[in-house]
Order: sequence, then structure tokens, then C-alpha cells
Amino acid sequence: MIRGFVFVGCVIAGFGIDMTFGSRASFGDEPASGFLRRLSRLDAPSENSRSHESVRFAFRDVVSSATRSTVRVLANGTQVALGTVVHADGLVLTKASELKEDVVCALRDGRRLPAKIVGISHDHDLALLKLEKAKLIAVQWADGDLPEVGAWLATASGTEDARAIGIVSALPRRSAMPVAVLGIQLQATRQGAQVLLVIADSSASRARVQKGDIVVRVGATEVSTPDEVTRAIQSRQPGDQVTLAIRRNGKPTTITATLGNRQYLGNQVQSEIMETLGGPLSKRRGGFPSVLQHDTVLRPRDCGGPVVDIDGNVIGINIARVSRVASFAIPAKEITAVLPELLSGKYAVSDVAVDQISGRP
Amino acid sequence: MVSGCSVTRGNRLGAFATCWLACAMVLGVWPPITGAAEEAAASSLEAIFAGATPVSVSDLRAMQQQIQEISKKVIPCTVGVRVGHAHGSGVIVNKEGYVLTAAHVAGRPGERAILILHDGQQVRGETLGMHRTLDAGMVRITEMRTTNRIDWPHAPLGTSAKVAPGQWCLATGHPGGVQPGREPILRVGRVLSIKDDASITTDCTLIGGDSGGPLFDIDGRVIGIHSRIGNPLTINLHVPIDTYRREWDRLAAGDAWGHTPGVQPYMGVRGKRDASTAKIAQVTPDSPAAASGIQPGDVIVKFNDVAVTDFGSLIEFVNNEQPGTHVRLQIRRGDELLRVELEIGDLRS
Repeated sequence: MIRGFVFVGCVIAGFGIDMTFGSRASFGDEPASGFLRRLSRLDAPSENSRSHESVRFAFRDVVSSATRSTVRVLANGTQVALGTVVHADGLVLTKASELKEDVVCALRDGRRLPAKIVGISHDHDLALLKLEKAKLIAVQWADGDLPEVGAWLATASGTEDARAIGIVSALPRRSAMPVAVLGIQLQATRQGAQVLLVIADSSASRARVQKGDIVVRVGATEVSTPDEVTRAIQSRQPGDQVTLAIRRNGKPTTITATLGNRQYLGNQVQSEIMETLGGPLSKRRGGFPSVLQHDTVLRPRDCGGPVVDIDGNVIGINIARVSRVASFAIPAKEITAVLPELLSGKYAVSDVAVDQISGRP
Repeated sequence: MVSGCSVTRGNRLGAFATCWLACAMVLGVWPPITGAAEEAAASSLEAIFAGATPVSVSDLRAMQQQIQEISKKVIPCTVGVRVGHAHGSGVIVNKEGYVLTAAHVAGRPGERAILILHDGQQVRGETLGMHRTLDAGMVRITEMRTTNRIDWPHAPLGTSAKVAPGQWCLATGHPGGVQPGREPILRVGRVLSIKDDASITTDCTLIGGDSGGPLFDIDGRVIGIHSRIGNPLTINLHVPIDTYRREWDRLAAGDAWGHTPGVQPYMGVRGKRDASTAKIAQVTPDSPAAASGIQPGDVIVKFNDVAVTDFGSLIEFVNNEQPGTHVRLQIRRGDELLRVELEIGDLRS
């Protein structure tokens, strides 16, 4: 009966640096591969579940106003995010890191309008889109205090129903940017940055980096000291693939590694399983100046739209699906503070930059 | 039934008749609703928290008020639990500082523990008992605060026997481990199923670090302790609180028994279950028993100084051990009495 369950304790890695998920946790007798295979299975809807349509139905009046100011954001024809109309003249905020080229907004009336990226605040991961010749209805930002812990939040979707519901899980706080890590210790030698130690169950050990290897290049960056390697790695995100040029026993070779999260160093496999339990997460899910954590179950493409409290006030914009237990919203105050700067062109982006945010080299 | 419902919903909902019928069918599984008067009663706050569908914004507002009120009480009772490398959560359940947690967080009895209060303050504690099979564990705060105060903030115990599918519940804990500047994280959900004494399943989502944290009913009473999850967001399992009630004395006394679900403790011997002694017929090669020198024909007389009456009781003794623990056996071989020590193995590893 316990097949496939994961104990939910966690453990400090033996390296004294970071917390990770632990040695006492168990996957029962099921191999991790079997576990991963079932990740695509859809959750069975239950009439008793908290987000059953009969419960969400009661939230219709709550989201009705915000719904009019919600658009779907498409890239290359598929929905990548929701958008929040911030100005009647076709200005829409959305989640920047989900955008790709050919951004189109789908309106409630069925129209599909091409969108131009006016500006991006990387701190907030918010992009300001401009829709030509569009007359839209802008959201009314809540001007009071943020709702307290335990307050209902509803996510509008552009259709009558609340896309999802949840409660405020914690007081607003800063969210740290996850740090990318390879899992090696380096020493400076005359030949360059040499691997002194490969941490077990890290991205380096999985990519078969070996003790004694000299790291020559990280991606396109030439490196000759341990500091340069660290900087090159930390300029990337956990989950990014990186190609390392290495000299092993005098012979050049290349290795491709998928970077890990420093928080889970030494327990990569298990923490990745933990992270994917319960559905996909946003690529960018940390490093925000202020977030309101709530327990609404969102898909990454549900981010970018307005979140309302029980009175229908728009208290912020969903910015990330963070984990099985958490979604983050950027509070309205943060948004109204950064919006004038986005409008002023301070964070204007070129077409090249748009390609970069989409993760293309 | 449907007309009874539409009294409270108003005419504007006529357009959503399809959905509404679906809702009416859902309502059918609750106590029968026969008219408008009963319908009004069914949407009382108590009925909603027991599983009736909230139908209006005022229903939701009433729910929110109760959830917020209870969260203010239960968050201060929620603690982070650190035992060695294990990081989990727990809940203080009496003023003396007894903390309920998961067995796999507490590990084993008599270990030093650090408990992190909701405001980040750390206090010392020690692990008490654990029922490993059901994943129930207990820890006690051993530190007095500077004022010698022993009235720790605590949550009352509920009864899991009364828990029913559909009822709303709250979960707190430290997902991802305790993080500075972040209080215990609140989640809301509903009970989806109850499996005898073994587990309560809810859609209060849990993740690593939540283990041992409390599940509350909507009045703030502890009805379960977070234990494990499956992939779907609807599989979050909690140890029913009645387990702790039933085993309180044994847990508080620091007894540890059973084994973690998913492991199969074994020593590697075969015998006749109905024989009057625990006589070994066969020893599995490369097993813990073989390593300790046990031979066919040996009779196990004592297991950790407790008399072994027959082979069936030997099986029970082994089943109650966690793989990796060392046990002492007394063996009769011919006229000789021998003592051996062996480490219980895991058949599934």
C-alpha cells in the first residue's frame, strides 16, 4: 500500500552548506524511474476536493471583475501565460520568462492581437506588452493592505470560472534567487582550475566530471581560475544545460551537465523527484523582491494574470508556480511602483533581448 | 432538490443549469435535502466545513473568517523539528511541551532534537517513542525558557474517528525546511478518504520538510500528522491522531516499535510456524543470520532478553525491528546456550 509514496522529511547535506531532502526518506520499493513515469498521470477529480468545480463556482462573483481584465498570452500559437490588463490602451503585464517570439494575446471576445514587448523588469519577471488598437478594461488595483494569512485568493482566467483557488500561506517576504551549482570543488593550479572533489549525487557526478579534470571553458566563457568557473556557473539557472570544455590527462574533452540547485546539493535525484511531484513548475520561481505565498494549484501557464481577494480586489499578479505546495504572487504595491518605470521606457528591450529571455542562445 | 437549491442561488443562475445539476448530484450524497428550510440549514458554516458546498460569497467570507481565526492559534503551536540530519515539522500538544511528529523524523528514541518555534526561536528537546509502522513519533521539549515557563503554546487533540470525507481541514509545517523570516506555512484542503487506523488522505498539499507537521480540523484540533505523499496533488497522507491517543503512554515512555513502511525486516531463517519452539530449519545464505553463525537445528530462546515461545513469535519480533538495528539472541544448540548479536536486514533493499 505504500508503493510510490515519498516520506516528506528532509535532511541537511553532509557538506554543512545547504538543506536538502534526505537519507531517511524512502521511495518504498519502487525505482525512481517508475515513479517518474507516472508523473504525467492526471489527478483524479473528486467531488470532495477543495478545488472541485462546485466550490470554484462560488467564486464566480469574486473573479468576475478581474476576469474582464485577463487575457491569455500565446507564443508560437500555444498559451504560455495569462496577462493582466493595466491600461485601457492595450497595455498588459505578463510573466516575462515564459515569453518567446511571436507573442499574441487572446482576448475574451475571441480576438487575437499581436503584442510588442515594451519593457521587462527582470527583478519581478514582469514584461509589459502593448497591443495595437485595442480597447481593453484595466484592472483596479487593491489599495488597502494585503490579505492576511488564511484569506481566500482566486485566480482569474479569462473565462467566468475562477481558474483556481487557494489561501494566503504566509506573510509577504523576499524570495531568494536559487543558485546554480555543478557540485565540484576546485583548486587553482598552474594548468588552471582543477577539480579537487566531485560531490556525490550532483550534476557534476552525473555528467561524469572526474577528480583531476582541468576546466577550460564554461559554455563560451574561457576560465582559468576557480572563481571564474564559479562565476560562470552562477550566472546560469538551476536546470540549465552547460557545456564544459575539460582537459583530462592532457587530452581535451567536452562534457554537458544539467546544473543543480545549491539548496539540494548532494541529493539531486531525490530533490528533483520531490520538486516534480504534483506537476510542472515555473522555470523562474525565485529572486523576487516581495512575494505573497499562497497554496493555489497553478500550472506555469496560469501565471501572469490577476489574483483577487474575497472582495474581488486585485491584490497582485501570479508570478510563479514554485513547488507542490506554493505559488507566488507579486503584491499590487510592487506592481504599481514598477509600472511607471516600465511605461517610461527605462526597461525597454530590443528584439535581441527578447530572444535572450526566451532562453535561446 | 434542485428547486430547493435554486432558492438560494437566484434566477440569474438559470444559464448554468448543466453545472448546477452536477452540483445537485454532488449534494445528493450528503444528508437528503428536501426543501428550502433544510437547504438554508445545510449551508450553515458548520455544514459547509463538514462538506456541504459553499454557494455564495457570504459563505466563503464566513469560511475565511474561521480559517483566519484558527490559523492565528495553530501557527504558533507548529514547530520545526531537527534530529541529526533529519528536518521535519511537529506540533506542541500540551503545556509541558510534548511534540507530535512523524516516526521517520524522530528517528529513534533518546536522540537530541532541536525544535524551532514559529518565531524562529530554537529550543532543545529529545526524541521519545515511535510507532514506525504507522509513522507516529513523539518528541519532548527539554528546555525551560528563561522564566522557567512550561506553558508552551499548544494545540488540543481532536479525534480522527470522527473525521469524514469532504470535511475541510488546515495543514501547517515547514515545507523545504525551516527558513529564516518565514513562519510555518498554512494550507487548506479537504479530507478525501480515511483508511482504517492507518492514514487520512487530504488535498492539503505537502512536500519535503512538512513531515510530522499537524493537520487540524476547522476548530483547530489536531486530527493528523503529515507523513507521506504520492504524485497526485490529492495524495497527501497523515497519521490519524487516534494512533497517538491510543499509544500515548508507550510513545511518551520512549518505546520504539514496528518498521518503516516499504522495508521488510528479516534475519534469514526458516522454521515451522506451528512447532512448539523457534527451531531453525534453514538459514538463508548471505543473510544476517548466516553472518552471525546461526545454524539449522538451533533453537532461538530469547530475542533481546525476551523469551521466544515459538517460530511465529520470532517472526513478530523481527517484524517489529527496523532494518539496521542490532538485536541480541540467545540460542540453544544441543546442550549449549549461545549468545549472538546480529543486524536486522531489509529484504527489499
